[in-house]
Amino acid sequence: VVDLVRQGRAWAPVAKTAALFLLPLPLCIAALVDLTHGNVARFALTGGALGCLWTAGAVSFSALVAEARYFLGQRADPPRLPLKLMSLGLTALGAGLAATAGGHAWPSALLIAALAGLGYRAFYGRDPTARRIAVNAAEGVDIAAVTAQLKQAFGRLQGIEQAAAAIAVPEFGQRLKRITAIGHQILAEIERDPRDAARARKFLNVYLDGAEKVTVEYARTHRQLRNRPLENNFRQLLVDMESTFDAQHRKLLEHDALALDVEIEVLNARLKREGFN
Amino acid sequence: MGLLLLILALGVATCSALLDSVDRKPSGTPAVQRAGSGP
Repeated sequence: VVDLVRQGRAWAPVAKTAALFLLPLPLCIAALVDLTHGNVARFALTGGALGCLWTAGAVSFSALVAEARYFLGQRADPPRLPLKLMSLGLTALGAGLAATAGGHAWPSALLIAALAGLGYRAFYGRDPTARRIAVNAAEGVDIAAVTAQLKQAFGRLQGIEQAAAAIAVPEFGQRLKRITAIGHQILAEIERDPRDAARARKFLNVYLDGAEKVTVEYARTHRQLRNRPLENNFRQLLVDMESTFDAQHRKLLEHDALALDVEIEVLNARLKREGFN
Repeated sequence: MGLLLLILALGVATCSALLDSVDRKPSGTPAVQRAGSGP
């Protein structure tokens, strides 16, 4: 169920591309009328506008599909091309051409194009930027494997941040923000010294995954019911999580691998007791 | 907010294009004057 919610949240924005296919529909009729009237010059404007807007819709669709896969960890990187930016340009151009076909003077057509571009940016957002992971070289460490682990871990932190945004209790949002900030510091530490990946293997492979699942599950149940014992349980879990993340960071710095694994075992057992893991 | 802006901009542009196309004569002569819009 947690995975379904997560997937639903990631895929939902794809449906927004419908706007770019439905809103230009009047242009279909306009282009047909221009064709039947033999107005080739006007057809170039209305047909061109329709082409621009539907192409913008198709490009946005592929951008949002790629983005959903990226956020779900199904692909390692976001698209290389700035697909949303390209789509924004096509939307503005299409709106400008349609306005010109509608008899608007160029300043007015320019204003409509700018408004369409602004609307696109506000509705669809910016292109996601890939976090550059630059793992330092270290003897006896498989850099490619560590990079893959870090990409997955950054994806999980992103998952926690997304779920945190859906939780209405400000205190929990703040706690989760602190937890993910420490998580980022830990990953940056591993990036700096990849030998830490072996020391933090349980953090990367088990605990971070558990933390993401707990947060997504809470974000889901919290929408459906406000339950005082559940809130208290979650609060205690967040307190434990924060102190463990903090201890993790400190002990990574101290290279105290044994104590770190013991602490993670304790918290992992707690997660299992709570039925989250 | 974003969707509203998009609806506003594309709505104005596409609907005015449609009205202008419908008003024009097949020969490509300028649009027929709508009632009340002339001198």
